[in-house]
Amino acid sequence: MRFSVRRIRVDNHIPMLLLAPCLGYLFFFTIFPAIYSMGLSLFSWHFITDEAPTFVGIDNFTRAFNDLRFLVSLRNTFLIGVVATSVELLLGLFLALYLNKSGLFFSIARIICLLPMMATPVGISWSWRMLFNEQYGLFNKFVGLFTGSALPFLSDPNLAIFSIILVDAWQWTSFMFLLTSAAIQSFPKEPLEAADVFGASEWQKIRYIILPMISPVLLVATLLRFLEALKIFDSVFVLTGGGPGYSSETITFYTYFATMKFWSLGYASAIAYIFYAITFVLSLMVIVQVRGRLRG
Amino acid sequence: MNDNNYCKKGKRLLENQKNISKNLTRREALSTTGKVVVGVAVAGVVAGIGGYLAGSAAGPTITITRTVERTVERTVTVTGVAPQPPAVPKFEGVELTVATQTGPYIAEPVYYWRGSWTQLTGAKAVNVVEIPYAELFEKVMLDLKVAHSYDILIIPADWAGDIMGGGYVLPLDDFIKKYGFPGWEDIVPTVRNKILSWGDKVYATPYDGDCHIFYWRKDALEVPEYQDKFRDQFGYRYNVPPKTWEEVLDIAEFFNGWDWDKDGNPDYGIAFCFRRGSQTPWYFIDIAAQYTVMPPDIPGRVDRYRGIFYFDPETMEALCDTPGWVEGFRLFREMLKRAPPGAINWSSGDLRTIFVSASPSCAMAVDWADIGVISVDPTISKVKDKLGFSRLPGAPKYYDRERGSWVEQFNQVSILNFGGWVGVVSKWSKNPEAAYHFLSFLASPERDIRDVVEGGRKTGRNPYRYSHFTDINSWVTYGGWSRESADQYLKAIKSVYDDPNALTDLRIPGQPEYWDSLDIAISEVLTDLRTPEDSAKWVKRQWEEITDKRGRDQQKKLYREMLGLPS
Repeated sequence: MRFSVRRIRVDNHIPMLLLAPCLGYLFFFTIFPAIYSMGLSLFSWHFITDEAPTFVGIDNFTRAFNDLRFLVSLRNTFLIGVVATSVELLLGLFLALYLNKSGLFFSIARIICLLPMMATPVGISWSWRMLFNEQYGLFNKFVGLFTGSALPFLSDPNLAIFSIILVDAWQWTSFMFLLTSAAIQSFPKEPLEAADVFGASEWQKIRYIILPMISPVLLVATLLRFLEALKIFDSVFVLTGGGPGYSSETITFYTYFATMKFWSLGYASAIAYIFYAITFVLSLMVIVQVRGRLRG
Repeated sequence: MNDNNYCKKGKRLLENQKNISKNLTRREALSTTGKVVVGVAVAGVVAGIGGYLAGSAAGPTITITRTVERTVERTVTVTGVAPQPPAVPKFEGVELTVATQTGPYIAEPVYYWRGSWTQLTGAKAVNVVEIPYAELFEKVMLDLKVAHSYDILIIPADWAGDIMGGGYVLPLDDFIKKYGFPGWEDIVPTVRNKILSWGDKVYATPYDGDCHIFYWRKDALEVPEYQDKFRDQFGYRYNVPPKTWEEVLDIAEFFNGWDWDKDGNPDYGIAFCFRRGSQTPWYFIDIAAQYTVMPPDIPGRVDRYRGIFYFDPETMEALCDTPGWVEGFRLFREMLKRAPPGAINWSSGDLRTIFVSASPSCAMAVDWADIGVISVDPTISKVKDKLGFSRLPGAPKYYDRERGSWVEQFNQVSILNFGGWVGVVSKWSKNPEAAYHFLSFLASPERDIRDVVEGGRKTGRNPYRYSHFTDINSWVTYGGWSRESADQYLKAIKSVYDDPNALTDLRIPGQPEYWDSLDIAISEVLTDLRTPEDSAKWVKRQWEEITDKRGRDQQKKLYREMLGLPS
């Protein structure tokens, strides 16, 4: 009897022991920094000076909402998130539908469509920076055929943000294509065969069969891509450096500056948390939508 | 070919240390007895510095031999330097870690010379940590605050406010007393006093001298036919080099948009660095300072109004919205209109490559000394011996803040843009003496001349010693220069260093933040997001906020220290 009690106790500890490394990692590298930075957002602290952190309450948060540079970066972030994700969704869906055929050409085309996703954003951005070059850029030469002259893609405050969106869409359409293709290829073919029997057109099959059936995947893919697009940094850094002025800065870019250039750790934590809160609410709304659709 | 020469030269130096008896024999065979006696006598007088220059600590015999050889060569430049006879340092088993920017520029000399130093001192190793420039400041600061893993930092001089003023690095005065410093008096005073020092102490060893100079294409500006055409168009004959930025603007206008080098492609007026997040503020200051900095009454002495560019040293009020700055913004924007399409995205690296490879050709440019060195590199340059060099143009007027009015008088301000790279010893270093010794080894005249003539091609080091300016032979032999070009190039740089009123960078804590605001303001002017006046006001507000945030009194104290004013 005594033996069995001891054994039960040991058995109870085993799951905890096995989970401990994982939980420890999670605690030290995710939970603790998150809590620490939340606390930090209530302090004013210039890391490289010797002065101690000063408690300032919510001053950092109110400062952020009066900081035009922060507001512009917030606007840019969501502009990139919404427009880039929408373009990627539409193009990815179109490609997935068009290339969902058998044959060597379509197989090769599918592989080519996936390639951009596999390259590093920094490399892609450098390539595009050269393509956008006003004097020698290939892309700009091509555009010049229609516009008559090269366009200042990276140096015009209005065009710069859309150039970033263009590069992001070029790279990440392949992600939407991948998920959408997988969804199309995995759902049962009987409804489509039935539609064929009833003489449905291609458009009707897409509108009334394919899209409803893959909509949960589309929503999840869109959510994932949207959240990723909000975190955009590399392309901004390489393509425009946040310029002209700060017209193409995004939240991550500005947070990086506030942290690693200005060393205002309190303020940087505050803007990171504001961004987190907005993203959290938006994600929650999308998740509720997805669940509603799934239930429906 | 030049690389080979250097390899040979470097190898010879090492061989000298290994095969002393062979050298002595050769020298004895070549010299008369009298010469040897004189040589040894001179060596006796300045044995300390000579031995140190030779870096010969491997053994007593080696020290004597190298001392004789180098002392004779350097007597002129180091006469009067009388450091204590240096101990022959041994750093057995010591391992140093050097942090600097990703090579080859700046990092390369550390790799090149570290073997010689470890061999000399018995040190175990010199490890190099290369960090991309964009991340260098934060990585360095994180290490100084938290990790404490670097012994030596080779960093931009304009971080002095944060690094030296912040107390993260050791003052070197005691080390200099103990070990001496090779050719200390040979370093131009501007660098010695304004760049290496903070307050009344020396914190850094020289590594790279930096200032902006003005470049022009001789096959454009010096063609009589073009000069006549210009006179017909603008009503006056321009100076070569141009005297003022207004004149530069006219010349750039004249040469902009047509094929003046007759290569079949359109050419342009001027090349600048305009890109945000690059090094644009330094180029802007080249212009704005000419209209803002009032010449001091006594050379080298600044006061509240004279020799001042960034802040009023009495109140710490930012001067960014003064008329001189506004004029700078306006002219900088005008320069962009006379540059090739897309120049707004040029970093300083782009500027150098494009100007030197003449793709497209630009009649004029402003840059650090790098363009000069790259221009003689046959693998990239199409402008070898086609360039003229001078100090920066001035302004026909400057704004007198004391009286609140413009003074119609020619004003020319030299600027030590960036200030170059310096070596500092972390206060956390476990081997600070070895760290200092290695830095002084890198900065010794016999080594840095090799690095300096290779500056733009691989080492990133530019001249900062008198001997760098006088040793034309090295530039011709190893650098691939023509004598005439080298002479003009070195005179241009030296004229900046010789100017006791030369303006330094802003070297107070928060410099990156002040600089970022200025960078944004420039970018907004260039893209017409704001007018020059609005940008000037905006950047002033930003600077005031940064100053308040960091403590106005503390910033003022450090700014005054930077200027050499009593705090």
